[in-house]
Amino acid sequence: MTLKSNWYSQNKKNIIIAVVFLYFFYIVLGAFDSTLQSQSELYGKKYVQNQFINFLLNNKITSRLNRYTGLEVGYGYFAPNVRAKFFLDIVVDSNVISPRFNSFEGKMKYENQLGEIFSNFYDNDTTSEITILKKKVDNLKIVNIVEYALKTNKIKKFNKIQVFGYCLDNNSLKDYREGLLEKKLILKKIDLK
Amino acid sequence: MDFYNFLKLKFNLSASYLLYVRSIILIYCISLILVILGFLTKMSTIFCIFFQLLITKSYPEIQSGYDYFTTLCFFYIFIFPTNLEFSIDKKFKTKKFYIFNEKQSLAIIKTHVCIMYFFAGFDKLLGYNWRNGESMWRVLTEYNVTNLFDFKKLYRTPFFFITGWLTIIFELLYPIFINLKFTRNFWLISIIIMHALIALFLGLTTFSLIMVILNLTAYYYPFLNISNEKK
Repeated sequence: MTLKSNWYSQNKKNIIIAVVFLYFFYIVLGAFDSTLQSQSELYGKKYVQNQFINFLLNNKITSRLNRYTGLEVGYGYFAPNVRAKFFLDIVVDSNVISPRFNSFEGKMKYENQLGEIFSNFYDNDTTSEITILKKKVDNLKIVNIVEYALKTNKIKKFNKIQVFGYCLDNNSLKDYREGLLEKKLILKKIDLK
Repeated sequence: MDFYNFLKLKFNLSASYLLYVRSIILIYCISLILVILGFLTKMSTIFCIFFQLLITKSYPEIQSGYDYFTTLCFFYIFIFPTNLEFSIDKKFKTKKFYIFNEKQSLAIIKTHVCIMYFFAGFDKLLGYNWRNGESMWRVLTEYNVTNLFDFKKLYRTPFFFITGWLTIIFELLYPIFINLKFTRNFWLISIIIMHALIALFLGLTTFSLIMVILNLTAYYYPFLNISNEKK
Protein backbone atom coordinates (compact mmCIF):
# COMPACT_ATOMS: atom_id res chain seq x y z
CA MET A 1 0.00 0.00 0.00
CA THR A 2 2.80 2.37 0.87
CA LEU A 3 4.60 1.72 -2.43
CA LYS A 4 1.37 2.33 -4.42
CA SER A 5 0.56 5.57 -2.60
CA ASN A 6 4.13 6.80 -3.13
CA TRP A 7 3.93 6.01 -6.84
CA TYR A 8 0.59 7.85 -7.09
CA SER A 9 1.78 10.94 -5.21
CA GLN A 10 4.94 11.09 -7.32
CA ASN A 11 3.09 10.69 -10.60
CA LYS A 12 -0.15 12.53 -9.76
CA LYS A 13 0.65 15.48 -11.99
CA ASN A 14 1.47 13.24 -14.97
CA ILE A 15 -1.71 11.22 -14.47
CA ILE A 16 -3.83 14.36 -14.41
CA ILE A 17 -2.14 15.70 -17.56
CA ALA A 18 -2.70 12.36 -19.31
CA VAL A 19 -6.39 12.28 -18.33
CA VAL A 20 -6.95 15.88 -19.43
CA PHE A 21 -5.14 15.23 -22.72
CA LEU A 22 -7.32 12.16 -23.39
CA TYR A 23 -10.43 14.17 -22.48
CA PHE A 24 -9.66 16.92 -24.99
CA PHE A 25 -8.51 14.45 -27.63
CA TYR A 26 -11.91 12.78 -27.27
CA ILE A 27 -13.71 16.14 -27.55
CA VAL A 28 -11.76 17.15 -30.69
CA LEU A 29 -12.32 13.74 -32.29
CA GLY A 30 -16.05 13.93 -31.59
CA ALA A 31 -16.23 17.49 -32.87
CA PHE A 32 -14.44 16.59 -36.14
CA ASP A 33 -16.71 13.58 -36.62
CA SER A 34 -19.92 15.52 -35.96
CA THR A 35 -18.75 18.35 -38.26
CA LEU A 36 -18.12 15.95 -41.15
CA GLN A 37 -21.42 14.15 -40.50
CA SER A 38 -23.39 17.40 -40.48
CA GLN A 39 -21.70 18.44 -43.73
CA SER A 40 -22.70 15.14 -45.34
CA GLU A 41 -26.32 15.57 -44.18
CA LEU A 42 -26.66 19.21 -45.18
CA TYR A 43 -24.73 19.25 -48.43
CA GLY A 44 -24.90 15.67 -49.60
CA LYS A 45 -21.16 15.11 -49.33
CA LYS A 46 -20.01 11.54 -48.81
CA TYR A 47 -18.70 10.67 -45.38
CA VAL A 48 -18.16 7.12 -44.25
CA GLN A 49 -17.36 6.94 -40.57
CA ASN A 50 -14.32 4.88 -39.64
CA GLN A 51 -15.33 1.83 -37.59
CA PHE A 52 -12.66 2.44 -34.98
CA ILE A 53 -13.76 6.07 -34.53
CA ASN A 54 -17.37 4.90 -34.34
CA PHE A 55 -16.38 2.43 -31.61
CA LEU A 56 -14.43 5.12 -29.73
CA LEU A 57 -17.26 7.63 -29.84
CA ASN A 58 -20.32 5.42 -29.54
CA ASN A 59 -19.50 2.52 -27.21
CA LYS A 60 -21.42 2.13 -23.93
CA ILE A 61 -18.82 3.81 -21.74
CA THR A 62 -18.27 6.87 -23.92
CA SER A 63 -22.01 7.26 -24.55
CA ARG A 64 -22.53 7.48 -20.80
CA LEU A 65 -19.59 9.87 -20.49
CA ASN A 66 -21.16 12.05 -23.18
CA ARG A 67 -24.49 12.03 -21.41
CA TYR A 68 -23.26 12.84 -17.89
CA THR A 69 -20.77 15.50 -18.95
CA GLY A 70 -22.82 17.21 -21.67
CA LEU A 71 -20.26 16.38 -24.36
CA GLU A 72 -22.93 15.01 -26.71
CA VAL A 73 -23.73 18.51 -27.90
CA GLY A 74 -22.38 19.13 -31.37
CA TYR A 75 -20.41 22.30 -31.87
CA GLY A 76 -20.95 22.72 -35.58
CA TYR A 77 -23.40 24.90 -37.41
CA PHE A 78 -25.44 26.12 -34.41
CA ALA A 79 -28.41 27.55 -36.18
CA PRO A 80 -32.09 26.71 -36.39
CA ASN A 81 -33.31 24.82 -39.39
CA VAL A 82 -32.64 27.44 -42.00
CA ARG A 83 -33.39 25.34 -45.05
CA ALA A 84 -37.16 25.46 -44.80
CA LYS A 85 -39.90 26.46 -42.40
CA PHE A 86 -42.63 24.11 -41.29
CA PHE A 87 -46.12 24.83 -40.05
CA LEU A 88 -48.93 22.79 -38.65
CA ASP A 89 -52.53 23.90 -39.14
CA ILE A 90 -54.92 22.22 -36.73
CA VAL A 91 -58.50 22.47 -37.94
CA VAL A 92 -60.96 21.92 -35.10
CA ASP A 93 -64.59 21.98 -36.30
CA SER A 94 -63.58 24.20 -39.27
CA ASN A 95 -61.62 26.61 -37.00
CA VAL A 96 -57.88 26.77 -37.52
CA ILE A 97 -55.88 26.88 -34.29
CA SER A 98 -52.21 26.70 -33.44
CA PRO A 99 -50.35 26.21 -30.14
CA ARG A 100 -49.64 29.32 -28.10
CA PHE A 101 -46.35 29.91 -26.38
CA ASN A 102 -45.30 32.16 -23.51
CA SER A 103 -41.70 32.51 -24.62
CA PHE A 104 -39.72 32.83 -27.84
CA GLU A 105 -37.65 29.80 -26.90
CA GLY A 106 -40.78 27.69 -26.54
CA LYS A 107 -41.78 28.67 -30.05
CA MET A 108 -38.27 27.90 -31.34
CA LYS A 109 -38.34 24.42 -29.74
CA TYR A 110 -41.74 23.80 -31.28
CA GLU A 111 -40.50 24.81 -34.75
CA ASN A 112 -37.36 22.70 -34.41
CA GLN A 113 -39.48 19.75 -33.38
CA LEU A 114 -41.71 20.28 -36.41
CA GLY A 115 -38.60 20.38 -38.55
CA GLU A 116 -37.59 16.96 -37.24
CA ILE A 117 -41.07 15.58 -37.93
CA PHE A 118 -41.27 16.97 -41.42
CA SER A 119 -37.75 15.89 -42.37
CA ASN A 120 -39.05 12.31 -42.00
CA PHE A 121 -41.99 12.99 -44.31
CA TYR A 122 -39.98 12.34 -47.42
CA ASP A 123 -38.65 9.04 -46.15
CA ASN A 124 -41.09 6.54 -47.64
CA ASP A 125 -39.07 3.38 -47.10
CA THR A 126 -41.78 1.22 -45.49
CA THR A 127 -39.47 -1.79 -45.28
CA SER A 128 -37.12 -0.14 -42.83
CA GLU A 129 -38.00 -0.74 -39.17
CA ILE A 130 -36.26 2.46 -38.16
CA THR A 131 -38.39 4.48 -40.61
CA ILE A 132 -41.57 2.87 -39.29
CA LEU A 133 -40.57 3.58 -35.69
CA LYS A 134 -39.63 7.18 -36.54
CA LYS A 135 -43.02 7.76 -38.14
CA LYS A 136 -44.78 6.30 -35.08
CA VAL A 137 -42.80 8.62 -32.82
CA ASP A 138 -43.55 11.57 -35.12
CA ASN A 139 -47.24 10.73 -34.98
CA LEU A 140 -47.14 10.77 -31.18
CA LYS A 141 -45.34 14.12 -31.28
CA ILE A 142 -48.06 15.56 -33.52
CA VAL A 143 -50.72 14.21 -31.12
CA ASN A 144 -48.81 15.98 -28.32
CA ILE A 145 -48.82 19.22 -30.26
CA VAL A 146 -52.52 18.94 -31.01
CA GLU A 147 -53.32 18.32 -27.32
CA TYR A 148 -51.18 21.29 -26.31
CA ALA A 149 -52.89 23.48 -28.91
CA LEU A 150 -56.32 22.41 -27.63
CA LYS A 151 -55.27 23.22 -24.08
CA THR A 152 -53.74 26.62 -24.81
CA ASN A 153 -56.75 27.60 -26.92
CA LYS A 154 -59.07 26.34 -24.16
CA ILE A 155 -61.00 23.93 -26.33
CA LYS A 156 -62.51 21.10 -24.32
CA LYS A 157 -65.13 19.71 -26.68
CA PHE A 158 -64.91 19.13 -30.41
CA ASN A 159 -66.35 16.90 -33.10
CA LYS A 160 -63.65 16.73 -35.70
CA ILE A 161 -59.92 17.43 -35.88
CA GLN A 162 -57.84 17.58 -39.03
CA VAL A 163 -54.13 18.33 -39.19
CA PHE A 164 -52.37 19.81 -42.22
CA GLY A 165 -48.63 20.15 -42.53
CA TYR A 166 -47.04 22.88 -44.62
CA CYS A 167 -43.49 22.99 -45.78
CA LEU A 168 -42.57 26.53 -46.77
CA ASP A 169 -39.46 26.45 -48.87
CA ASN A 170 -38.55 30.07 -48.42
CA ASN A 171 -36.82 32.07 -51.08
CA SER A 172 -33.07 32.15 -51.12
CA LEU A 173 -31.26 35.48 -51.27
CA LYS A 174 -30.56 34.89 -54.96
CA ASP A 175 -34.26 34.20 -55.68
CA TYR A 176 -35.26 37.34 -53.80
CA ARG A 177 -32.77 39.45 -55.77
CA GLU A 178 -34.18 38.05 -59.01
CA GLY A 179 -37.64 39.10 -57.93
CA LEU A 180 -39.10 35.70 -57.14
CA LEU A 181 -41.37 36.75 -54.29
CA GLU A 182 -43.72 33.77 -54.17
CA LYS A 183 -42.94 31.05 -51.68
CA LYS A 184 -43.14 27.42 -52.60
CA LEU A 185 -45.73 25.58 -50.58
CA ILE A 186 -45.97 21.88 -49.98
CA LEU A 187 -49.16 20.73 -48.35
CA LYS A 188 -49.65 17.38 -46.68
CA LYS A 189 -52.63 16.14 -44.74
CA ILE A 190 -51.59 14.21 -41.65
CA ASP A 191 -53.74 11.31 -40.52
CA LEU A 192 -53.65 10.99 -36.77
CA LYS A 193 -53.69 7.42 -35.46
CA MET B 1 -45.30 21.34 -23.54
CA ASP B 2 -47.40 20.55 -20.50
CA PHE B 3 -45.83 17.43 -19.08
CA TYR B 4 -48.64 17.02 -16.58
CA ASN B 5 -51.43 16.82 -19.20
CA PHE B 6 -49.34 14.65 -21.46
CA LEU B 7 -48.90 12.01 -18.75
CA LYS B 8 -52.49 12.27 -17.55
CA LEU B 9 -54.03 11.91 -21.01
CA LYS B 10 -51.65 9.30 -22.32
CA PHE B 11 -51.21 7.04 -19.31
CA ASN B 12 -54.29 7.75 -17.11
CA LEU B 13 -52.02 8.35 -14.17
CA SER B 14 -53.17 8.73 -10.61
CA ALA B 15 -52.29 11.71 -8.48
CA SER B 16 -49.57 9.85 -6.60
CA TYR B 17 -47.47 9.46 -9.73
CA LEU B 18 -47.91 13.09 -10.57
CA LEU B 19 -46.87 13.94 -7.07
CA TYR B 20 -43.73 11.91 -7.76
CA VAL B 21 -43.05 13.88 -10.94
CA ARG B 22 -43.57 17.22 -9.21
CA SER B 23 -41.40 16.17 -6.32
CA ILE B 24 -38.58 15.41 -8.78
CA ILE B 25 -38.88 18.92 -10.15
CA LEU B 26 -39.00 20.33 -6.62
CA ILE B 27 -35.87 18.41 -5.56
CA TYR B 28 -34.12 19.63 -8.71
CA CYS B 29 -35.00 23.23 -7.89
CA ILE B 30 -33.80 22.80 -4.29
CA SER B 31 -30.52 21.28 -5.54
CA LEU B 32 -30.05 24.28 -7.84
CA ILE B 33 -30.55 26.68 -4.94
CA LEU B 34 -28.05 24.73 -2.83
CA VAL B 35 -25.48 24.88 -5.65
CA ILE B 36 -25.98 28.65 -6.00
CA LEU B 37 -25.57 29.12 -2.24
CA GLY B 38 -22.56 26.81 -2.22
CA PHE B 39 -23.88 24.50 0.49
CA LEU B 40 -22.86 20.85 0.13
CA THR B 41 -21.89 21.88 -3.37
CA LYS B 42 -20.55 18.59 -4.67
CA MET B 43 -23.49 16.52 -3.41
CA SER B 44 -25.99 19.08 -4.71
CA THR B 45 -24.28 19.12 -8.10
CA ILE B 46 -24.63 15.35 -8.41
CA PHE B 47 -28.35 15.70 -7.69
CA CYS B 48 -28.57 18.52 -10.26
CA ILE B 49 -26.91 16.42 -12.97
CA PHE B 50 -29.09 13.41 -12.19
CA PHE B 51 -32.41 15.24 -12.10
CA GLN B 52 -31.63 17.50 -15.04
CA LEU B 53 -30.85 14.46 -17.19
CA LEU B 54 -33.89 12.62 -15.83
CA ILE B 55 -36.22 15.49 -16.72
CA THR B 56 -34.74 16.39 -20.13
CA LYS B 57 -34.16 12.84 -21.35
CA SER B 58 -37.58 11.64 -20.18
CA TYR B 59 -39.26 14.37 -22.16
CA PRO B 60 -37.07 15.30 -25.13
CA GLU B 61 -39.54 17.91 -26.38
CA ILE B 62 -38.39 20.29 -23.66
CA GLN B 63 -34.73 19.63 -24.37
CA SER B 64 -32.77 22.26 -26.13
CA GLY B 65 -29.13 22.87 -27.04
CA TYR B 66 -28.45 24.79 -23.87
CA ASP B 67 -29.41 21.74 -21.75
CA TYR B 68 -26.20 20.05 -22.89
CA PHE B 69 -24.24 23.12 -21.87
CA THR B 70 -26.05 23.10 -18.53
CA THR B 71 -24.97 19.48 -17.99
CA LEU B 72 -21.43 20.48 -18.95
CA CYS B 73 -21.48 23.36 -16.45
CA PHE B 74 -22.72 21.04 -13.69
CA PHE B 75 -19.93 18.58 -14.50
CA TYR B 76 -17.33 21.32 -14.24
CA ILE B 77 -18.85 22.63 -10.99
CA PHE B 78 -18.40 19.12 -9.62
CA ILE B 79 -14.77 18.57 -10.61
CA PHE B 80 -13.50 22.12 -10.14
CA PRO B 81 -12.84 23.75 -6.74
CA THR B 82 -16.00 25.86 -6.93
CA ASN B 83 -16.83 25.92 -3.20
CA LEU B 84 -13.62 27.59 -2.03
CA GLU B 85 -14.99 31.13 -2.24
CA PHE B 86 -18.40 32.80 -1.84
CA SER B 87 -19.98 29.65 -0.45
CA ILE B 88 -21.59 28.39 2.74
CA ASP B 89 -19.19 25.41 2.59
CA LYS B 90 -16.30 27.79 3.18
CA LYS B 91 -17.88 29.17 6.37
CA PHE B 92 -18.63 25.71 7.78
CA LYS B 93 -15.19 24.49 6.68
CA THR B 94 -16.65 21.30 5.28
CA LYS B 95 -14.26 18.75 3.83
CA LYS B 96 -13.27 19.96 0.40
CA PHE B 97 -13.04 17.63 -2.54
CA TYR B 98 -11.68 18.64 -5.87
CA ILE B 99 -9.64 16.99 -8.57
CA PHE B 100 -8.04 20.06 -10.15
CA ASN B 101 -6.67 23.19 -8.55
CA GLU B 102 -7.71 26.69 -9.65
CA LYS B 103 -5.12 27.16 -12.37
CA GLN B 104 -5.78 23.75 -13.89
CA SER B 105 -9.55 24.32 -13.78
CA LEU B 106 -9.19 27.64 -15.57
CA ALA B 107 -6.96 26.09 -18.23
CA ILE B 108 -9.49 23.31 -18.84
CA ILE B 109 -12.45 25.62 -19.22
CA LYS B 110 -10.51 27.99 -21.49
CA THR B 111 -9.42 25.12 -23.70
CA HIS B 112 -12.94 23.77 -23.92
CA VAL B 113 -14.44 27.15 -24.83
CA CYS B 114 -11.78 27.62 -27.52
CA ILE B 115 -12.53 24.19 -28.99
CA MET B 116 -16.26 24.97 -29.02
CA TYR B 117 -15.86 28.18 -30.95
CA PHE B 118 -13.24 26.79 -33.30
CA PHE B 119 -15.47 23.94 -34.42
CA ALA B 120 -18.52 26.20 -34.63
CA GLY B 121 -16.58 28.41 -37.04
CA PHE B 122 -14.96 25.47 -38.83
CA ASP B 123 -18.32 23.86 -39.59
CA LYS B 124 -19.66 27.14 -40.88
CA LEU B 125 -16.58 27.62 -43.05
CA LEU B 126 -16.98 24.22 -44.70
CA GLY B 127 -20.56 24.89 -45.74
CA TYR B 128 -21.31 27.35 -48.55
CA ASN B 129 -24.49 28.66 -46.92
CA TRP B 130 -22.55 30.68 -44.40
CA ARG B 131 -19.88 31.77 -46.89
CA ASN B 132 -22.36 33.24 -49.39
CA GLY B 133 -24.62 34.87 -46.79
CA GLU B 134 -27.55 32.54 -47.41
CA SER B 135 -27.74 31.31 -43.79
CA MET B 136 -27.69 34.88 -42.43
CA TRP B 137 -30.43 35.83 -44.91
CA ARG B 138 -32.69 32.99 -43.82
CA VAL B 139 -32.00 33.44 -40.12
CA LEU B 140 -32.64 37.19 -40.12
CA THR B 141 -35.63 37.18 -42.48
CA GLU B 142 -37.45 34.07 -41.26
CA TYR B 143 -36.51 33.79 -37.58
CA ASN B 144 -36.51 37.45 -36.63
CA VAL B 145 -38.64 37.37 -33.51
CA THR B 146 -38.44 41.04 -32.52
CA ASN B 147 -39.31 42.53 -35.93
CA LEU B 148 -37.39 45.67 -35.02
CA PHE B 149 -36.05 45.97 -38.53
CA ASP B 150 -37.07 44.38 -41.84
CA PHE B 151 -33.85 42.81 -43.07
CA LYS B 152 -35.40 42.07 -46.47
CA LYS B 153 -34.75 45.71 -47.34
CA LEU B 154 -31.03 44.94 -47.34
CA TYR B 155 -31.27 42.22 -49.98
CA ARG B 156 -29.25 44.20 -52.51
CA THR B 157 -26.45 45.03 -50.08
CA PRO B 158 -23.53 42.78 -49.08
CA PHE B 159 -24.81 42.87 -45.48
CA PHE B 160 -25.58 39.13 -45.25
CA PHE B 161 -22.30 38.17 -46.91
CA ILE B 162 -20.31 40.36 -44.51
CA THR B 163 -22.15 39.26 -41.37
CA GLY B 164 -21.81 35.60 -42.37
CA TRP B 165 -18.06 35.97 -42.80
CA LEU B 166 -17.72 38.01 -39.59
CA THR B 167 -19.41 35.18 -37.70
CA ILE B 168 -17.06 32.64 -39.24
CA ILE B 169 -13.96 34.76 -38.54
CA PHE B 170 -14.85 35.57 -34.94
CA GLU B 171 -15.59 31.95 -34.12
CA LEU B 172 -12.80 30.29 -36.09
CA LEU B 173 -10.04 32.62 -34.85
CA TYR B 174 -11.37 32.77 -31.29
CA PRO B 175 -8.72 30.39 -29.84
CA ILE B 176 -5.90 32.57 -31.18
CA PHE B 177 -7.06 36.12 -30.54
CA ILE B 178 -8.81 35.57 -27.22
CA ASN B 179 -5.53 34.36 -25.75
CA LEU B 180 -3.50 37.35 -26.95
CA LYS B 181 -3.31 40.21 -24.49
CA PHE B 182 -3.85 42.99 -27.07
CA THR B 183 -6.90 41.48 -28.75
CA ARG B 184 -8.57 39.72 -25.80
CA ASN B 185 -10.95 42.48 -24.76
CA PHE B 186 -11.99 43.27 -28.31
CA TRP B 187 -12.66 39.64 -29.16
CA LEU B 188 -14.53 39.04 -25.92
CA ILE B 189 -16.76 42.07 -26.44
CA SER B 190 -17.41 41.03 -30.06
CA ILE B 191 -18.44 37.52 -29.06
CA ILE B 192 -20.72 38.86 -26.32
CA ILE B 193 -22.31 41.27 -28.81
CA MET B 194 -22.82 38.35 -31.19
CA HIS B 195 -24.62 36.37 -28.48
CA ALA B 196 -26.65 39.41 -27.48
CA LEU B 197 -27.78 39.80 -31.10
CA ILE B 198 -28.66 36.10 -31.22
CA ALA B 199 -30.78 36.60 -28.10
CA LEU B 200 -32.37 39.74 -29.52
CA PHE B 201 -33.15 38.54 -33.04
CA LEU B 202 -33.54 34.80 -32.64
CA GLY B 203 -35.02 34.77 -29.16
CA LEU B 204 -32.46 32.22 -27.89
CA THR B 205 -31.96 34.06 -24.62
CA THR B 206 -31.04 31.13 -22.36
CA PHE B 207 -28.52 29.71 -24.79
CA SER B 208 -26.90 33.12 -25.28
CA LEU B 209 -26.81 33.67 -21.53
CA ILE B 210 -24.98 30.39 -20.93
CA MET B 211 -22.42 31.15 -23.63
CA VAL B 212 -21.82 34.65 -22.25
CA ILE B 213 -21.34 33.18 -18.76
CA LEU B 214 -18.82 30.66 -20.12
CA ASN B 215 -16.92 33.42 -21.91
CA LEU B 216 -16.85 35.68 -18.85
CA THR B 217 -15.80 32.79 -16.61
CA ALA B 218 -12.92 31.86 -18.88
CA TYR B 219 -11.71 35.22 -20.13
CA TYR B 220 -13.01 38.10 -18.04
CA TYR B 221 -13.02 37.37 -14.30
CA PRO B 222 -9.59 35.68 -14.12
CA PHE B 223 -7.98 38.73 -15.74
CA LEU B 224 -10.04 41.10 -13.60
CA ASN B 225 -8.38 39.68 -10.46
CA ILE B 226 -4.92 40.05 -11.99
CA SER B 227 -5.49 43.69 -12.96
CA ASN B 228 -6.84 44.47 -9.47
CA GLU B 229 -3.77 42.90 -7.87
CA LYS B 230 -1.48 45.02 -10.07
CA LYS B 231 -3.25 48.18 -8.89
